[in-house]
Amino acid sequence: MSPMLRVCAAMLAKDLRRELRSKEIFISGFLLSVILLCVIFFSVTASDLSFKKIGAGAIWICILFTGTVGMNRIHQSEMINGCYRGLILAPVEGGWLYLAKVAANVLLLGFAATLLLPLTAVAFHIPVFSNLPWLLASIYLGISAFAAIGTLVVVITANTRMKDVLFPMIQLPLVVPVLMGGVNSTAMALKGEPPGDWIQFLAALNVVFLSLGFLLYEFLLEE
Amino acid sequence: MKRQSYFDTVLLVLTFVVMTAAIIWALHIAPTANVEEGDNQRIFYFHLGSILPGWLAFFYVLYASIRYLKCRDLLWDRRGRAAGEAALAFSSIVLITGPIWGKAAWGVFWAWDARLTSALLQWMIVLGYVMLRRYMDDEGVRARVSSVLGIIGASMIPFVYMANRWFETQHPQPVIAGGEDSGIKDINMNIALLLAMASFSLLTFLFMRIGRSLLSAEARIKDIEARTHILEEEL
Amino acid sequence: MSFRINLDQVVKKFDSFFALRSFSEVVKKGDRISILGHNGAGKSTLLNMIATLTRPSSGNIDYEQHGARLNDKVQIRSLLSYLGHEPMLYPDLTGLENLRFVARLNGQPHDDACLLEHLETVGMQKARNRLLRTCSRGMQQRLSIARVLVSRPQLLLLDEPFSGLDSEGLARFSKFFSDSDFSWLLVTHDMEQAWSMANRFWILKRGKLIHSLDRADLSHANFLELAREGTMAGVDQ
Repeated sequence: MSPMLRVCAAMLAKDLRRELRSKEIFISGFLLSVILLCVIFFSVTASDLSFKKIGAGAIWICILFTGTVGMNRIHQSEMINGCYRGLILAPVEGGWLYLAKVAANVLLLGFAATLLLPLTAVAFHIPVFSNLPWLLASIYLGISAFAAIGTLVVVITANTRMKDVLFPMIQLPLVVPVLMGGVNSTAMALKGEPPGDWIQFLAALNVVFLSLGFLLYEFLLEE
Repeated sequence: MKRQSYFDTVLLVLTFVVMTAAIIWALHIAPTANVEEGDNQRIFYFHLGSILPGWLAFFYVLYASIRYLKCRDLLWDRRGRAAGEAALAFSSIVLITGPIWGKAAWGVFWAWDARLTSALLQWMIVLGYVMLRRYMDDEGVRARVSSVLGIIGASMIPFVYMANRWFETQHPQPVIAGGEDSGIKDINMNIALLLAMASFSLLTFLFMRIGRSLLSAEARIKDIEARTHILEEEL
Repeated sequence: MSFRINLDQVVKKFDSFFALRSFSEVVKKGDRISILGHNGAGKSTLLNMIATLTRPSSGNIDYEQHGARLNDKVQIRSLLSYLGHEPMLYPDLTGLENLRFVARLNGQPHDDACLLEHLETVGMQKARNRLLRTCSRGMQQRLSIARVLVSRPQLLLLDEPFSGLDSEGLARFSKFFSDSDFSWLLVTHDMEQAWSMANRFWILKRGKLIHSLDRADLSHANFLELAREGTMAGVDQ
């Protein structure tokens, strides 16, 4: 196995095993998303809007919430016991560590989204099967771009005094284009249309930010 | 040193002259666009005029960040910081003048049109860059980490504008969006706009130079402080 | 495998404070250097720079292996291994799982047999399937030594790794390091321990190297006198 793949596989296995044992992302992210779905329903219905129209928005609000809380948590647990220092000092190129971390984040968030989707479909009566492949593509490409940026920002803000406040403050404006791409392509997929441009936009975001992250992560692996 | 201050003086004079010309043209020579808006429309020159400098400054942040990461010379970090703060100032101007003009032109302070929404998001991204620095004490860490954020933030700006443009074409808002760029037929209005852009760009450049030299002076003082400390201890 | 680290006029400055000033020294294979000094003398800063955790503000640190200059951070980091107060191991993984991860990250053999051998060296093979967070501090420190062994370094960088250990743990550690053939840099406050384990001493005071000593040239009493110079930070000499 090539050294890069070896490192990625090791990182992935480690992060997934830790999450399976602690379930902290599941608890903090996913379960709170369920509450969020209720809040969305209450606020939409109280405003006399049909909740059936808000499907795409509801999915993405929950992904955003789970993602922000989750990624912050994942990184903080990495910092315990000085483990992050262990990663810095590993004889591995930073870019590969970055890709491994993004992959782990995508898997964990993707899993949460996969659980959320049927829930949201049932709660908001959304026609999930009208264009399922495009729907899944929009969600996973969106999560991937979200994780690509978040994995960088979480390390950036980890160096600061107010990391818990600064992380969402810096991360959220940066991911708005991802959200726009995600919401629009999800909404179009739910209408049964091919999302076309928006999926390409998400793909472009992925390419650009994964490449940037790969080049820049090395600079974050210092103290 | 002398050459630098000569350059700064020339820059200052030039900025003053162009800014004066811009003000005269925008407020006096250019005709009003239409009867309903009247003179309120004139803020549009400074609103549009601030957009370009905001972009220029933040793309300079991108350049300075890359230069810093390559050579680790703190001078580039200071340049980036000065540029970031200038970008924040001009993005704030866009965000403040936009609603003022919006109220005059459309009757509402805010419409989720592409330009204003993009300006808001840009402002938040630039704010994040400027704010980040305040929460880190170690200058080496601060410079390095801010540079990475500067590169990411500046790279996202084009995507922000692209996404908002597309969104607007697919979901046009009922508020009149056409009133922005239409109506600029008169040559004097064009001149006013160009002068506003030029003067604000020069002002940005001036802010960046002043900002950078202030920060350099601060760094020199800290260095002297540190060395004095050592001398005191050894005596 | 021979190696050499040249520190040339290394300076570390934090805003308006010099943590380390103009430090020039050489580290080579076989060196067991104790770094002594008062709190804030710059010991950990120095160690962190050699570990490539942080960059010098000015000056150079050059790494050579077999006479050839190492330019790549990856190559440099495979030369070194760092051990501090924190174990650098994941609380939700077992001892064995943690070691397996470190082995894979370092490109070392990660089969169970090999890892169990390392655990045996530190006396932790019975606890291999215990989650790290259920292990005592002493056990965690033992596992962190095993972590260092897994990566097969040339040079160990030890930043007060014995803090919080009881006398038994301390004795075991000291014996382990003395008996092994590692080269190391050890930051410590314990002068007796420094004397018994090291063959060279760097004594820092307020960021400056005031003494660079060889054990062969010193008597125990001399050493204590010179070492105490470094630890008296508040007294104006």
